[in-house]
Amino acid sequence: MIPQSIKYIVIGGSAGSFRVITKLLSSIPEDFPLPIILCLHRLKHIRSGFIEALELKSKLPIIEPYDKMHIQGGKVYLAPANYHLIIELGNHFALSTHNNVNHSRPSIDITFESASRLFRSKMVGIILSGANKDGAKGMRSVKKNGGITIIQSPQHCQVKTMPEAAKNLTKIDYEFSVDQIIKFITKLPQNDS
Amino acid sequence: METTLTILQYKEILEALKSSHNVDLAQHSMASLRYNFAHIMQNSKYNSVPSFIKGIQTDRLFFENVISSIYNEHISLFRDPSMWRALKSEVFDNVLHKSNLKIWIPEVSKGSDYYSLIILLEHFNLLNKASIIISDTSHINLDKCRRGEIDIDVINNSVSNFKRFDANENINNYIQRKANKYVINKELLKSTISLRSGVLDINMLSNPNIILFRNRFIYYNHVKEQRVINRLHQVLKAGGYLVTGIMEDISAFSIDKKFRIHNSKEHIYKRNF
Repeated sequence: MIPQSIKYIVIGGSAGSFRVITKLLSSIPEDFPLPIILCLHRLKHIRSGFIEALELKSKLPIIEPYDKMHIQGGKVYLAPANYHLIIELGNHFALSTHNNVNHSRPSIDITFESASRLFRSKMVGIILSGANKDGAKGMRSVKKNGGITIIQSPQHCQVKTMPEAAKNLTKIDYEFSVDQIIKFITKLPQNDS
Repeated sequence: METTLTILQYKEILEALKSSHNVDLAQHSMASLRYNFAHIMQNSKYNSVPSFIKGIQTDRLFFENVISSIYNEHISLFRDPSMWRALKSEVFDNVLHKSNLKIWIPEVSKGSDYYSLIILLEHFNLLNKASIIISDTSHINLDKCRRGEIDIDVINNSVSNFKRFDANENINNYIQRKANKYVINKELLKSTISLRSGVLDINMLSNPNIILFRNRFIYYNHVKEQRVINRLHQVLKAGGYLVTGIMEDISAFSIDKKFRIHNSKEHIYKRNF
């Protein structure tokens, strides 16, 4: 049961999460009304290719947000390579070139922490397969601020370090398989009554 | 400790900077500064908000360090190698048809783009046709750039970026290791004038024909972004070039035709006449 109305979906992942993301995006209908924010570890110097690969599978538009771009429903936002993606007051994105966090830029912790402080109980944070601990502190912040926390079940992950790190730091609400994550997300709009 | 501050804590710090030093950062990006202050706090002896504020008020060196980190960038040299190629082939070559290069880098911060620029100019034998102005509000940043010091932790990526820029040459031809740091070859720094000034306050004797202002708008709110664009437009020569970060979109401010896009992929703009 989903205890409150979720308006924002924020997803983090790294190694092994690309397949999960493409499966997830291909399952989300084109009239899906919520924004989905993706913070995925990616190669710093590759500026093209990644978004195009996701676009092939997604029915929703995929956007690498510019600094100060407003967040809108029905769009998938992908953190740009080599920038941290921060959610700013006024429902818009901010980018930064601060130091790597957990060897990563974009860092999932930074995106999740900033999102959780603004979206609070209106967000769900989802951590997928990944090879380092980035995202664990972010998930703790999501939980602390009243959001829902979900990890991909470690036994279903290609690399389980990331969801296990989140689980070790926070009492996670749900451990789901990929199909269960998809079911959860696609049902969210129906819950908004 | 989490990696950011509450809005109330953030506002207390801004107030301390303004009341103690007349430094007004109210028009900077809150998300970025909040994170930045928290990061400094975690790594200094002033590791709580009250002591951080006391440090700003009473410890001049600490205050100067805070100011030097406003644009707390962590950027390798030759970030976005294709932009540097475009800068040479589309901008330098165009400008050099008519005049020498006069290039301004406001808010030079840790100097990554400045060092990339002078290496680029030297690489193409153009340093003698260029005058470069760097400016910053922080004397710590300017002093570091005058000494040509490069943060050691950006070296590996800088080497890779330069290889992507020109596979046949090595960036080590332009830099050298000295003890626990890297420095740019001193000869390359000779064409540079450094000015201690914020981007909005600078006075120049003659106008630049190129301004490098990459990944600086991301640290401003909309109001300051507009003010800075107006200022850059005012300072830049007619027909000159402005280079912004690849994820910075100034098109919303171009409705009055101040700039037009010259290279959309690399975010190079041209000042309209």
